[in-house]
Amino acid sequence: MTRAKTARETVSHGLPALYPRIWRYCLALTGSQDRAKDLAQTACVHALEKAELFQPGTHLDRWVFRMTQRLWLNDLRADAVRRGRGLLPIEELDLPDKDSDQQSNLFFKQVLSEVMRLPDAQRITVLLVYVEGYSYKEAAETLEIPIGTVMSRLSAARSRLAKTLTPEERDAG
Amino acid sequence: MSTDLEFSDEQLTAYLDGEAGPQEVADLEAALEESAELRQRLDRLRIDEEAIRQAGAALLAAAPPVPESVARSAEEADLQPQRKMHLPAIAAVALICFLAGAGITKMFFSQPDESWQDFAAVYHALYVANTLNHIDQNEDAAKAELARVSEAIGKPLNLADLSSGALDYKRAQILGYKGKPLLQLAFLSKIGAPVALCIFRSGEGAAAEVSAATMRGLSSAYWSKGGYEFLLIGGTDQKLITEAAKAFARII
Repeated sequence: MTRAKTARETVSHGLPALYPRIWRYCLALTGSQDRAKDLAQTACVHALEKAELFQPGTHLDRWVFRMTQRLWLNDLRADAVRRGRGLLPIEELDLPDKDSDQQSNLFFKQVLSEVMRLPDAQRITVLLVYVEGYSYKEAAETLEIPIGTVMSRLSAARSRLAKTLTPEERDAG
Repeated sequence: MSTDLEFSDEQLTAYLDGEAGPQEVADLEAALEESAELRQRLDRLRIDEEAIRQAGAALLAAAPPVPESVARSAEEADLQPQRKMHLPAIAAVALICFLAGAGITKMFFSQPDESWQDFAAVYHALYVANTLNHIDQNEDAAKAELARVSEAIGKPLNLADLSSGALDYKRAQILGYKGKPLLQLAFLSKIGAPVALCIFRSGEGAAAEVSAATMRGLSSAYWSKGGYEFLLIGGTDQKLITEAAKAFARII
């Protein structure tokens, strides 16, 4: 099997399972539900189109995330901002409650809304490190920024979040 | 104390994230022993990472369904390994994505796919203020129109009920979805945003409270009652739409 063919198959087979995470990444990237939806779809089309460039054996998620971020920053963000589509507050997200009770859903919504209120650059970094569990190095490579920038974004995000999102609050709430 | 300043917030963050090197950890922990101020600075950077991780995990369950194009390409990869996407194919995929996209927002509200609301939202997204601006019916004409359309879905509607509140009633139309009548009552908000109240007879008895969503970039609120489903949609002022929806839900 040729490398290009393996690459194509890996991408085609991997994307459906990865899709919810791509969408979540887009949500953090764009800060809005409808933009996230559009971007996730565009990113998938793009990934399928460029599938042969994927290096089998490397991480598909990082490859797609990197591509998605480039698409957003280079091509789509300016347009989306110009069109000025309304930002959909994260409070409107209805989290399915099959695995958790209503109270933790409320708490999660509150957490998400705090995270979504962060400036774009901090938000996406928080997602990669605290939600996706990426190391600083992996996050830096995915976002194509120096590790020092990852650190400063996270420390700025922590300062902001610490005011509203301390560990104690959870026990109290 | 000079020890505090030897450590930047970035270093404290790396320490909290387990990303600091062993020497740095040792130095920092020694300094933390010494300095209450440094401990305070560290505390001001503490967050509930586990809550963020869990909230992020919960978010996955709210993700829209995998677009058909993506799901299909996985199946087709085996059949047509040499397939290359050309521009028309990409356009087709984009179109499918667009259509599938209509079904996504309501996923947050656990409604079934391909609902009439999607179609109503797509239709309403084409409305601009000038679609409705020129309409200025007198009371008799408005009442006659309303009587005609309400007969179509078997639900009496009063002009007075529609004219109160923050929305300026304009007109009523009968649309159709899967062979069933779908009423569209059009309004303009005070700032000139077109808003539509869509009523569909589902025949299903289950009542649902008003729930807010953004559909096609528009604020909307959905509820159901007495075998009818309602969608109020338009503009980007979610508060206005939700409140108007609650008012309509009480009187209609």
